[in-house]
Amino acid sequence: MKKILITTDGSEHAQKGVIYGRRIAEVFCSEVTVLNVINDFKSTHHHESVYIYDQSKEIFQAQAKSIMEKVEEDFKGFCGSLSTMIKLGDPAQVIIETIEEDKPDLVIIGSKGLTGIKKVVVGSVSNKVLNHTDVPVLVVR
Amino acid sequence: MRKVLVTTDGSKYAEKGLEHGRKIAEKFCSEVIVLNVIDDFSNAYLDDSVYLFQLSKDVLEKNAKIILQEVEHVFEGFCGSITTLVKNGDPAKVIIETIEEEEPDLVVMGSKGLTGIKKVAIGSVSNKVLNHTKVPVLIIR
Repeated sequence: MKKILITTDGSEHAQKGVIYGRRIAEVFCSEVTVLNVINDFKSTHHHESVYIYDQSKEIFQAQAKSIMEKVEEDFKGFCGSLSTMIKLGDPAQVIIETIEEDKPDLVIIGSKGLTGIKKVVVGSVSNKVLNHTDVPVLVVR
Repeated sequence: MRKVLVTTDGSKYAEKGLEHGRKIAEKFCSEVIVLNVIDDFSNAYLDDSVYLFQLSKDVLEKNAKIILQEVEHVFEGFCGSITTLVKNGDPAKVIIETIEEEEPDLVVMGSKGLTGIKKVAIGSVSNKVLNHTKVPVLIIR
């Protein structure tokens, strides 16, 4: 468990994933990367969404920054190493790409994140990731 | 990470689940419960399946014993405690019920088990469990 990737979208479930992730990473003094993906809505078929993204780009980026500040706080005094990443794109796709690049030993995903209003119980992002990777995935609710 | 539930069906994915389960449980000297569910096919709408179950019950039970021997092998010298459970029924349902009874802090499941011939990438059992529990679930592929 040398390398652990934790994904967060700032939602309550993702926050639980971060805390739970630390508990596991702590005992292995792992190299932890926390990834936040800003959705650019390009994979949704609503042109309005892209428009919304363009309109509120700065707000999203500021939000991502504050999410990461919170993560750094949660990892205060952590025995391993912590790096944070903010990327832009379709969340599931970016997470899958990051897994391929970084080759973590464990991926931790908070399920039912920000689009959790839908009747899907496991978040669509975690579901996609689960279906596209061979790396162990820990789903935290 | 006081209590860890590891589910196994004897497939190679489940075996990997055992190994990963130990890796984490070792660090916490957890109380590990290994659950093997023998599918009684009572949830499948095929009368033949029930018949098949009756026919192959002995074989399945023998199989379960082999799995449990494997468990003891993987967990040899383990610092925590280990309990093995063999239950009959619909795998997803029995796993969910066991989670409710035992209240583990972590569930470890090997995905794409014995019914993995199907084109579903995440096993149907792990998928059902993910959708019915609030406990963190680690999916091993």
